[in-house]
Amino acid sequence: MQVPLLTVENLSVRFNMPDQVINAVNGVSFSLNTGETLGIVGESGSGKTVTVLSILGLIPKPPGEITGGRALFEGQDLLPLSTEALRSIRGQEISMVFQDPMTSLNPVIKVGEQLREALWTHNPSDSRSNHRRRGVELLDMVGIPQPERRYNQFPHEYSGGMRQRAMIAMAMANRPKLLIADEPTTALDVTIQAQVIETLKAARQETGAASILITHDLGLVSQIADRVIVMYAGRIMEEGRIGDIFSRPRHPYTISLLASIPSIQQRRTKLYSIPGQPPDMANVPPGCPFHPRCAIGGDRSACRSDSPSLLDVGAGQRAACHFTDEAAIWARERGT
Amino acid sequence: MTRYVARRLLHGILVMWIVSTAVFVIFRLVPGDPAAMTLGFDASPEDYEALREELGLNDPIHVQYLRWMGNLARGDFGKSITHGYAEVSSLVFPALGRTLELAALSILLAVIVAVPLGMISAIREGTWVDHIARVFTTLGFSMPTYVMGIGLLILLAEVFPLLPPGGYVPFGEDPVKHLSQLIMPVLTIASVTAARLTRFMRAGMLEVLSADYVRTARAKGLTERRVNYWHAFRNAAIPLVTEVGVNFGLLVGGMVVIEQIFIWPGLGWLMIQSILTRAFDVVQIAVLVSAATFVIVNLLVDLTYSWLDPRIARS
Ligand SMILES: Nc1ncnc2c1ncn2[C@@H]1O[C@H](COP(=O)(O)OP(=O)(O)O)[C@@H](O)[C@H]1O
Ligand code: SF4
Ligand SMILES: [Mg+2]
Repeated sequence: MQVPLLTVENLSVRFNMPDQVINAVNGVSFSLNTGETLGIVGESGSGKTVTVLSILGLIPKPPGEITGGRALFEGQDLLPLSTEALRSIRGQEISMVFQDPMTSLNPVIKVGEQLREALWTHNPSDSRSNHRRRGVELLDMVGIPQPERRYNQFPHEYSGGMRQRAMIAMAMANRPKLLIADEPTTALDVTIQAQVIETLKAARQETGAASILITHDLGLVSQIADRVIVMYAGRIMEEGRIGDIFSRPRHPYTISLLASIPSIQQRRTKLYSIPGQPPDMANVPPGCPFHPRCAIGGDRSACRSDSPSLLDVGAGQRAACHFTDEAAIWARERGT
Repeated sequence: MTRYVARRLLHGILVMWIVSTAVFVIFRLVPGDPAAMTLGFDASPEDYEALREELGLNDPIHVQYLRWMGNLARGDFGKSITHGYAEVSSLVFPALGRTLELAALSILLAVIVAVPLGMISAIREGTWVDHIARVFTTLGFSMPTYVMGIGLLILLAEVFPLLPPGGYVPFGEDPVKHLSQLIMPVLTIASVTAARLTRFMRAGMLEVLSADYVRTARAKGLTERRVNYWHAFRNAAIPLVTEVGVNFGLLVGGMVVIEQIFIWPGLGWLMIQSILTRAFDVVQIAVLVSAATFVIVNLLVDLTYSWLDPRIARS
């Protein structure tokens, strides 16, 4: 049995706001092996970003507070580390690409300078010209044309897609062991999304890094990830290998998500859309957080009162639902 | 960039033209013409008529206007009858210099205090440093300048006679005395300005510290120092330049009370003195020069801003 690169155990994060408490992440556990790609999907507000930011200590505290859990990276728990200790992990062992490339780069510092800084901070003894050469090389690697010229430009002179490429270049600069991409294409034009995903794939290949891809696009996950986690209301609803999740989903929420992917292969005539809204994270319904929207458990008392735990449903697949068998049947009937 | 500079310059010239026209209109069309203002009410009709003739007040208004604008354009600010036909510029410009000295030193001191204080209170939001800074800024905001000035005067010149109670000696004559005369007015102005700038800096820093690119900088593994004082500060400093410039411009025109309290013969003091001695020919130029300084400072601020912010420079 391989020792996982990253093991998150029972992670809980909340935000203590002046008038309410937001339990953004509730007992999330998962692990990731070297070289593996994990997808995290879920509607907006389900706690995906907070989960990965917590690992790197990037949650603003206050109002954020990690109330429990561990995040073991190569056996070391990152959660209690000081900012100074985390520095050698951030950008070197674990890097991140963020959702909005328009705001993720510093507008008053040249892109090359920001790239060079990522190299310099982890190799301060190396010469400036070496950092520069490597920086230009990285820009070239992520497919930025005329990298020499582009190196000296400001972010506003880049298109959105190019900025995200520059972010990817920065993230792979120190050949991290884990690359986290938080909805890297959500803010981009559809036409550019595929290119950026290709760049990410190439970066992953080039560095051999494991990766976590956060997205709300299940279709994208199916192309890239080995395994996937489905999150809802700060909890994991279902987890499994990508093939299993697509062919044998066991959680009503996953099934609903799958049913709402537009796809030609499927013989459905009508696209499913999940009734209702994602929960207000300050007032999550008791019991199973999905029950107000669930086609199966909507009015069962077990669903309303008892929060289901994430249990093994076979073949490394886990689901948090009281009625996984019925869910499986429902999935088959729906033809998902 | 050149087009931007040209446009801003043109804008400045336009403002100056409007101001000089306004000064002309105000000083010519208000009841009691300049001749009456100069001579007072008890002057004989002969003297009055002679002065009107001398000042060209009997010419048609458009002739007077063109002469006024023409003189200004040539930099000829005329002579002051009240001051024994001295060149007005020889009165106004030294006074402007003294006001600028006071304003510049005050702004400098305010910036030196406000930038670190505002930054640290933002970085350490909610800690004791932040609370102390808040007390300081609230005090600076709530206390009128003249109260602060008179308070200092009583404290440092009366109760503990450490400093001269105002006055002015040129630096070249007695540097130590000159500087000791500067201390109180500079402290007075700087404390109010520093309060304003601290609050501005703190708000700007707080905003920038929650920006996505600051998170990116942290995610790269940069030190907190580099994140705060390089990535965040560079962004927070850009609007600060404008704020400092605007405050400086306001100071140059708003020094009347302070110069009066500390008997500092700057532009504000000259204006008051000239009004009291009915030297309208000095007052009108002083107003004009004060306005011009404000326009020039703002022009410089805009240019610095566009130079600092790459997003404006290129567009
Ligand atoms: N800095 C913050 N302050 C307060 N609440 C936050 C903050 N960041 C995230 N949250 C809350 O945490 C919850 C999860 O957010 P997030 O992880 O960003 O969702 P996702 O990435 O899945 O869209 C949301 O309800 C959000 O409002
Ligand atoms: S526990 Fe009940 S409400 Fe929740 S997903 Fe399963 S069936 Fe639906
Ligand atoms: Mg998110």
